[in-house]
Amino acid sequence: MLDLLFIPEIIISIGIMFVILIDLFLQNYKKISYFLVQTILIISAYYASNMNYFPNYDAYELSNFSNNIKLILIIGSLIIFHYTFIHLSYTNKLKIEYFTISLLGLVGTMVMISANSLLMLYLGIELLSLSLYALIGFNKKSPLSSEAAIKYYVLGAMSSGILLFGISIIYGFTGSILYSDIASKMLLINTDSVEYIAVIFGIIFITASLCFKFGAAPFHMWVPDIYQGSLISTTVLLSTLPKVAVFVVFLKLYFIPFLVIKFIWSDILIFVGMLSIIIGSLYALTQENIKRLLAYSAISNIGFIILSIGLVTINGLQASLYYTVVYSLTALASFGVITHITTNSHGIENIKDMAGLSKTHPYFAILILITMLSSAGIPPLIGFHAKLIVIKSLIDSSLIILSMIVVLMTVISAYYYLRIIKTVYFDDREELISTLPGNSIILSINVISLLILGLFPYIIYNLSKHLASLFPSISI
Amino acid sequence: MSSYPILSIMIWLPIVIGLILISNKNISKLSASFITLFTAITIFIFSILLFKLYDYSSSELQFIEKYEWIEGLNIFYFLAVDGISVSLIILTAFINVLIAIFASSEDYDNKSGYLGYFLILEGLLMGTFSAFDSILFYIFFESLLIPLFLIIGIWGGTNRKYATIKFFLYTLFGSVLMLISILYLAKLAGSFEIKEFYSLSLTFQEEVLILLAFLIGFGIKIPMWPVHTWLPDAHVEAPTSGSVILASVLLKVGGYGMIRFILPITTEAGIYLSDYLIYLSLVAIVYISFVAYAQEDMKKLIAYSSVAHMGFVTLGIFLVFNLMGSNSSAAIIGLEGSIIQMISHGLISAALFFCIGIIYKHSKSRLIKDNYGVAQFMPIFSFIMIFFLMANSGLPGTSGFVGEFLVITSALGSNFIIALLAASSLILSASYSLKIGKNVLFGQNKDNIQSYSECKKNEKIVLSILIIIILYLGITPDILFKLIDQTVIDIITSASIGYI
Repeated sequence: MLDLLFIPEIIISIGIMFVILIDLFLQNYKKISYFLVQTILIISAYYASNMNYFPNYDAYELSNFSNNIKLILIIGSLIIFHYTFIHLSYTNKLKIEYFTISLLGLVGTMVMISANSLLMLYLGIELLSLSLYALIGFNKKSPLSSEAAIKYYVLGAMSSGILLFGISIIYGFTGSILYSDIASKMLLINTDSVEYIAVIFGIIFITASLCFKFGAAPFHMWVPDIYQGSLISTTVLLSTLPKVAVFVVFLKLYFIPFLVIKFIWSDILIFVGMLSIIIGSLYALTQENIKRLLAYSAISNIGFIILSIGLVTINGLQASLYYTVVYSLTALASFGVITHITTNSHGIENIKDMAGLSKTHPYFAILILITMLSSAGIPPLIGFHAKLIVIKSLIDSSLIILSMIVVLMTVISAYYYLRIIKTVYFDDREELISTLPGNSIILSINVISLLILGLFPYIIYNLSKHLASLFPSISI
Repeated sequence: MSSYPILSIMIWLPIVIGLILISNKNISKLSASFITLFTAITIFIFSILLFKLYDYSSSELQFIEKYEWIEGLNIFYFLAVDGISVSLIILTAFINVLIAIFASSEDYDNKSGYLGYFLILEGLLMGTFSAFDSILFYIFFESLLIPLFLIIGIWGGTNRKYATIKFFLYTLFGSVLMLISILYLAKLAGSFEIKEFYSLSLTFQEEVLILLAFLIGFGIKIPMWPVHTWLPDAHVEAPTSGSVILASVLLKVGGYGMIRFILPITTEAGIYLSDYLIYLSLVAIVYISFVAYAQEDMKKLIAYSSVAHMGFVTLGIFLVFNLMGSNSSAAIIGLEGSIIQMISHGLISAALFFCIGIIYKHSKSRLIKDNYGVAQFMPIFSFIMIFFLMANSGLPGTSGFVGEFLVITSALGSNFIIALLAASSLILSASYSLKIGKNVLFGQNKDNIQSYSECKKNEKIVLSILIIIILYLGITPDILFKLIDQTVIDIITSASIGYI
């Protein structure tokens, strides 16, 4: 029973209090608090990977699957916090509260992953969202940041309302909020009855709200503004942790309680996925601001993930896991590179700020080259394998036309990644660019892993297969 | 024989050394040139070894290296060679040696990076020509874009940004459609091996769509009319060695892919569409020759001439569809002609781009009107260049003649009009080749201010090696025939078995 004290959520929650307390007394030694934060993460990672006692709760899942995903989130946070720390301390915006709030958000994502009941899911989402509102508004002096925070807050509250509305409909007609109960009740509902239609409405409400949290089209309007308004380190966080968590929520919701009526939501998800890919690829073409560009790129990547969930096949499930892992790694790398580049001791904002980087910082130019080519899906980088496996599962499901649209969109999106490479390599320097002092070992490992994993793609393939085998799914 | 991973060495050695050259900026220009030359020669020796050990009495795949790469997806690291692969691998290794020699006297910023990208390109090309797993092939095929993109973009001319992005997107567009066909074929065959695709029985509609997808993919690479427009831009902006590798080897990837994929897999659709495919090739040969004649820029002229000459390659390939049932010996001649045309064009276009590079270095202009009367100042160079221009127009005795002659002979077996139009190229190519010769080499130098001087020693070495090889292959092309004969027969029989 004591083992339960050592699940990552609890370790991190207790750790947060420690950090707040210690930071009170050591205001001038922020590095110590920062190391404490990282230590907490490492400890929780240790316990997440070594947990072997799994009690059976109805509403909260403790399993190998959830622990593996949590481990991925913790490792992601370690890297994000590293980028955040060096960026914030360089731009003199460092406050330890930033990390404690982020850790709260991390706990929120873990609750979302472990939730086996709709209310628990709602709790997790709210915990995450509240932390994100604070993080987005963190840059108090910038009006863009405040605007972004308000915007995200209003829209987020509305989407939470829609989620609750969907949950209450489902609860009203199935009499339960537990995933497993809903699944068995769904089987009994007659397809001609009113309940059936009501449940479908409930699912659509929930889907809409989750798509909003995911940042998928047509609920994507907030994404570019919020990405642009926040600090670059918040953007890194926004583009990785919540996405992974919402992705797992998608998997669990659709493959456990809603699996019975898959023919309803699979079309919706395929539509949302395709729309996200198309909008993400087309709108990114005209962006000058690098954060907005990466925001649209995130939208189109999310499209790939949702699309492969929507296929409702084992291949699709694996592809979505594969894509999510690769997407997180690539997003970390691309935002990571950008956090490291500065002009006049500010973070860069526009693509043209990076002009001529290859002449002054050839090493960083190579890192950008690798990340951008990987995002564009050019072999032999890992981004190619991720797109390949999604397209393969599309073709295995005989969706040839959709796969053609998808590949055409990858060609279009290749253009704006190439534009970045063009700016970095072929354009002449206008402003003074510098990179953050200190070493960039973690960044280098992050970026070079894109190449190494691309040459040995079976590593992530086996990982995603392993995760898929752990997934507590009913046969598809 | 197959115990040594000779193909893997030929792929990965240049890539690794190239990466070292790129990532290390402290290497001096001299040592970078030396390392590159040494690597290129090593690879060339390996390719000669490959040629010597290759058993050309058999059409079986040789030097097989096959390991499981991505377990669950059935994707293999599967390298092997047949006669066509060997001939193109030798061409690649050979051209890279010449580039290494030629570039040793050139001066660029960050030269070790420049040479490093060429080595990476060489390794990837080796991979493209020896991959027999379709996904592995695709990966090498598409990775080729990256080093060339950077070579043109970083070291290219004034309009390089436009040219590189156009080139990249054009070829990427072509190849993604191809990827879909590969995945579709793999779904039906349950395997990604190219040879497994040959025995698939596809419906007619599937075949037509797959043929079109491959045609767009490889047609852009070759390039065929009307998707050739990226090539002149890319050539004009590329540095000399970039143009050389682009014209002499990268274009051949398209022809190679057609022989490897379109001929054996989509035979039925090919026979149905063969007339249209042949028309496309004839347009490339005749119309593009006129376009070439109208060019003012030497590099553009040679670029268009490349399109026209590659028209022969596609013509030879597509004639196979036309002749397969009725006259299979003519089909064999046509396909062999198109392969020899690929090799020969690889040598001749490389030579011409080297020559233009030398002229450009002196006058800083590629326009014909800015370069008059080079022969007054560079008599030896002018003699050499006139030889290459003659070879370009298919003079008997040079390798340029052999391929075109075979394709025209094969066309006679199909239709007299096709043969006539194809043969008109001999006159048209002579006219635009001689246009350069007349004006640039022997024109009247009005102002006499051009400071041409005879070419350097390493340039002379490159050009004389090319002369020897072009003459040698022109006089005794047997060596090539022997190499590709069995493979060609094998491809045509496997295609016709699938058809019947």
